[in-house]
Amino acid sequence: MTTHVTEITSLAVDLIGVKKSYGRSVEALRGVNIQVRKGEVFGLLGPNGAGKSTLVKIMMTVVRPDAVAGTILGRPIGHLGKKSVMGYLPEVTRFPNYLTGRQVLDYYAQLSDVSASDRRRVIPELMERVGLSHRWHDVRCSKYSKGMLRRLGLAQSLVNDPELVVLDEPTDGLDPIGRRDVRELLTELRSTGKTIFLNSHLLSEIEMVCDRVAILNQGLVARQGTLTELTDHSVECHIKVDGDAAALTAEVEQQGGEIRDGMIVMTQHDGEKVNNMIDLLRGKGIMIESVVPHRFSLEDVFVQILGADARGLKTVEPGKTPPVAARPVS
Amino acid sequence: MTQVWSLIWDSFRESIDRMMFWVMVVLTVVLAAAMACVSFDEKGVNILFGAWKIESESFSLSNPDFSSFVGTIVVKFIADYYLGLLGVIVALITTAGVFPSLMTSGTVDLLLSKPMSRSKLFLSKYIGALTFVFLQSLLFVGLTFLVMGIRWHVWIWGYWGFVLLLVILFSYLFAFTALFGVMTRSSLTALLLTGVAWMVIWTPTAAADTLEAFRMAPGMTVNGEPVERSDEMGKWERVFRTASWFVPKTTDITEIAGQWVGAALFSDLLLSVSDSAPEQQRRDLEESREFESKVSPVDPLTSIGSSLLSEAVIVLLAMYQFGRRDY
Repeated sequence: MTTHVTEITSLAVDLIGVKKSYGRSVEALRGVNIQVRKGEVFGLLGPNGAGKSTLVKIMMTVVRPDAVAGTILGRPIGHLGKKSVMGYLPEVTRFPNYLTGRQVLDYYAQLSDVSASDRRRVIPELMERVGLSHRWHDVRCSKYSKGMLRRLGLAQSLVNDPELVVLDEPTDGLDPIGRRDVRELLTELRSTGKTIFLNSHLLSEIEMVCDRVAILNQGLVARQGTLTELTDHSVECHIKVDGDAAALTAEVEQQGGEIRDGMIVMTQHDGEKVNNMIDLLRGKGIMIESVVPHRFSLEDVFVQILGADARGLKTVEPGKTPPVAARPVS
Repeated sequence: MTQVWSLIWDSFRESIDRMMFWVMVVLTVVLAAAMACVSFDEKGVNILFGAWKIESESFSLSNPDFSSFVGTIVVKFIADYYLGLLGVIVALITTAGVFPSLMTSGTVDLLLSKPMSRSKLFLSKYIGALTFVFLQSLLFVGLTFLVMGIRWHVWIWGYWGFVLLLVILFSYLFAFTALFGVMTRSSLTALLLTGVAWMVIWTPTAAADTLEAFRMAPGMTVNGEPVERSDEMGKWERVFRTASWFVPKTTDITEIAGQWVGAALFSDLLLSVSDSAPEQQRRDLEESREFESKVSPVDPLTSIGSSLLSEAVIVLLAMYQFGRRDY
């Protein structure tokens, strides 16, 4: 019982069976289960149309789900008290263009019930922190560039000192330096104990900052786990031999491998099979030029999942626990 | 409460950012300046600070009914045409975008993510639009009140009631703008549909008033032919009068305004300036006066109360639409 309670309270986001349809034909979410622990940076990945933005909007009560159970910060979704300790940066932000950057933050801080004294203290600090220098504070945001608006949006999501920050494509529109700044900010936020829910198309970005990741595809969680869990078992061993590897196809396949680009590729992380393959090659007197273990990147895992799903091979149905690691599918 | 004030204040800032707001302010100042060019003394009217003088017994300070005549002019021309028509149309144009712009992607997402209910957000924005009209009306009534007091020597304190009446009149129509704005997310469509709704809600009261006029003036003629009064007309008058109870009654506002400023009957005003008119014309005016005096006055409480109830239903419908949809 104690363990169970600890587990529950340690979850910042615990969504169970999230379903959402648009009309009769479009099933955006088909029973999504996602758990985010407190203090971690969680990445949500998925192709266009996977339902990522719908899920984020459901979390922020912008979209009403057909079905959902679970909690956010220990309370049901939409709990007003908990919304005051949540920050949100939507994929698209449209600030009132008659307001200055400072006024924008003041306006949204008031809506988040931030006291006047805190607003006075926090707003200039935040603007500097996201890289909006002092001379821009009192300039109408209609004069801001796309990148500056993104930075302002980021500041807006932090203006109430939230426990949970939900960021939808936070680096969209930012230049490389801006992206680096955002990554540093996320790392800094994590160090202060904040939970970050990051929805991004950029796999490299997710890979650099996230502790755990969920890959959403066709309205379902295809994979969920730490980066290591997702990529650790997704290892191939590339054996390059002197001569025509294709002649060994039958033996290689017998060992669970395949011939790809003139190389023997052992598609499973199984040391014994790799050793057997090497023994086999030596036994035949074939010169081994190199043996290179190849760990899949998140991108590889992502592409494999999408490819598998496109062929109907991988679908985690609602109610079933998604596997934490992908078996490479060639 | 901070949230509500913040949203209301934002609606106001949004409105004053629009050109139409300043157009209305300029029009107000121009009208007040034009009124200030006219003054009255014991002998009659002075125009352009005495450059042109018109002697008139009726429009002179020596006329004991002068104050009520000014009230009639104020109601007929300022309340009815300028504020009740032009002012409301400009206010509707200015505020038609409140809900469509609120519901655009990137705006509504942020607002809905804040710790407040959708109904609170909706109502705050709605009140924000009314506040904008309140301030515009306050500016207009304040300026013209001062001009009438200082230049015309008529201090009509009931005139301040126009501020409230104008906000009420605007709110009757803005309820439709909000509903159509939420349903269509288009300012232009909302505005056009509000125009249609205005016509629809005007019809029952106007029809009932017209039929009542036939009833009250048995000698009335149309194209020289006497109008026969039938039971059928009486039945339809009751039908329209009943129907008017269920819709906001925009046409009643002018009459209520007249009551509040103690305005004289319009035919009294016309009679007072038609001393040299032909006998037939004076007889017609006297008949009109008799008719006007017979028409049953509007009860402000019943009219405004039932209209606000209708408005509340429309607002609730709009709020329901706003609350149930996805963004």
